[in-house]
Amino acid sequence: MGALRLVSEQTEDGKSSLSLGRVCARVAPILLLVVAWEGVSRFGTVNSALFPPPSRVAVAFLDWWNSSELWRDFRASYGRMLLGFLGGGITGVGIGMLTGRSRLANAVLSPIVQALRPLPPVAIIPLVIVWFGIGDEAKIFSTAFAVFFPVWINTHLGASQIPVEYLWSARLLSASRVKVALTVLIPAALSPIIAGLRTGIAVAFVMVYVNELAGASAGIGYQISISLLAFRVDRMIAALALLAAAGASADLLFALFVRVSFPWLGGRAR
Amino acid sequence: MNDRVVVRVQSLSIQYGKSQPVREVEFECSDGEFVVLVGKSGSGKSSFLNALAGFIPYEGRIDVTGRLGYVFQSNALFPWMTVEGNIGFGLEGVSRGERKRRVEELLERIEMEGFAGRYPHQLSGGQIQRVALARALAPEPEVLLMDEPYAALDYHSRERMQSWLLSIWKDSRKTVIFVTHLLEEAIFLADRILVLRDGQFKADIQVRFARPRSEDLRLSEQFLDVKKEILDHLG
Repeated sequence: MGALRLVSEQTEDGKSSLSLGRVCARVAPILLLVVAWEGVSRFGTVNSALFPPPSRVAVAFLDWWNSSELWRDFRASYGRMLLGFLGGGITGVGIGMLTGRSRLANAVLSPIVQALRPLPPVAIIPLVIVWFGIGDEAKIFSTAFAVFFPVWINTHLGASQIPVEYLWSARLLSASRVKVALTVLIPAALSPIIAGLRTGIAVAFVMVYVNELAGASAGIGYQISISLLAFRVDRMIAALALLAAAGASADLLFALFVRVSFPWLGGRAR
Repeated sequence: MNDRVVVRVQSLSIQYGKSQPVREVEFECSDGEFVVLVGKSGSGKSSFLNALAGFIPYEGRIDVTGRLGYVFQSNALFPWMTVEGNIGFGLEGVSRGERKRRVEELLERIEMEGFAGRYPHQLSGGQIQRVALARALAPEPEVLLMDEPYAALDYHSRERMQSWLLSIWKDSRKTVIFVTHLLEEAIFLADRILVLRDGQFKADIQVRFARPRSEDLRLSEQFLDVKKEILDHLG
């Protein structure tokens, strides 16, 4: 599964290998870029106020760390992302399973979802602020709203394309609809659900960032916004690096969770 | 085999839009009988089996005594469950200990002890079909329906699986209705072969070879005679 290859490479026999050489090969181009950036910025090829060298960005990052604001901002952004992701993810999976498996639910709910889907999620932020105020509720709601759509469409497609043999086997072997729903329908649609949730993580970070630019008193987006006002480009880049690290860590943690919880996804369904 | 009829089909028709793969078919099958349906692709064999299992809508009457088991060719197992989970899936209303005991017993019967914790993607095609049979047998069905279970296997694996299936069937003596397009497979396995063509049974051929059947049977003249007879009816 492509999603898992970020954690480690799969060899032909299915075992993981993460050799030192391979790690070096991946890190080397990034190190080269950082060194080139330092040189270009330090020796005046570009304006260092606009394009500060990585060493100055690192100092800005340490200042931010030492001021204890970094953890506050990280916690605020990660918390909003997580709650928005969970809200949108759970709703998306639930409604996607319903519309994918029930003709009635599909007839009633899908037109509503499809009517809302073309709306760029960031466009609802002003309206949500009017409804919920400037606090966390508005940020979490609009993040959940944005996460819902990729999760819903993937779950809907996955649930509606479950191989008929699984459904027929379940029907012959079990009389319990709840058991079949939990142990057959959801696992059978799990690959697309996971793809949708993974897209949802990326969408959640975008939404949290935009929400924090629109008005917040803590968060990585808020830090970037006030650094812009103070013309602290070094702090802005440090905040962007933290945002990227937060996004990457969430993605890796999710991939790890999938790998540990669903080992069969690594194999080919037969 | 005894004369008690366990499956009776009267005036069965199946309609898919404008096409009618099965038309006004009559069928009876006795307890413990091994019946094989043969026919060309699209002749309605699988539709007939799916109607027997109640998977698809049909016109006419189907009476089945007791519970049904079904073995599919593709997606034969749930890939998200271990071998143990798959075999035990249909064992409802029994304690956890009893469930485990029954699964172990079935694993022994299919000669796959030690495979309980494996996932389907860790098994070969033949092993998947063995587990699929164990899963179908677990709730102790009266009638076993098998839809080309070995068609995707290579020649040697398929022959091995056919002999193995007969050895399992000899002990359980379940009624089996088996669909295949492979005539050698049909003749080797069956007590009776029904030839399906243009949505109707064109022939009902008794296969009187003694059991247990050896691999040499496949090369005998009598075996070829039955094959010629089927080919005549297939057209």
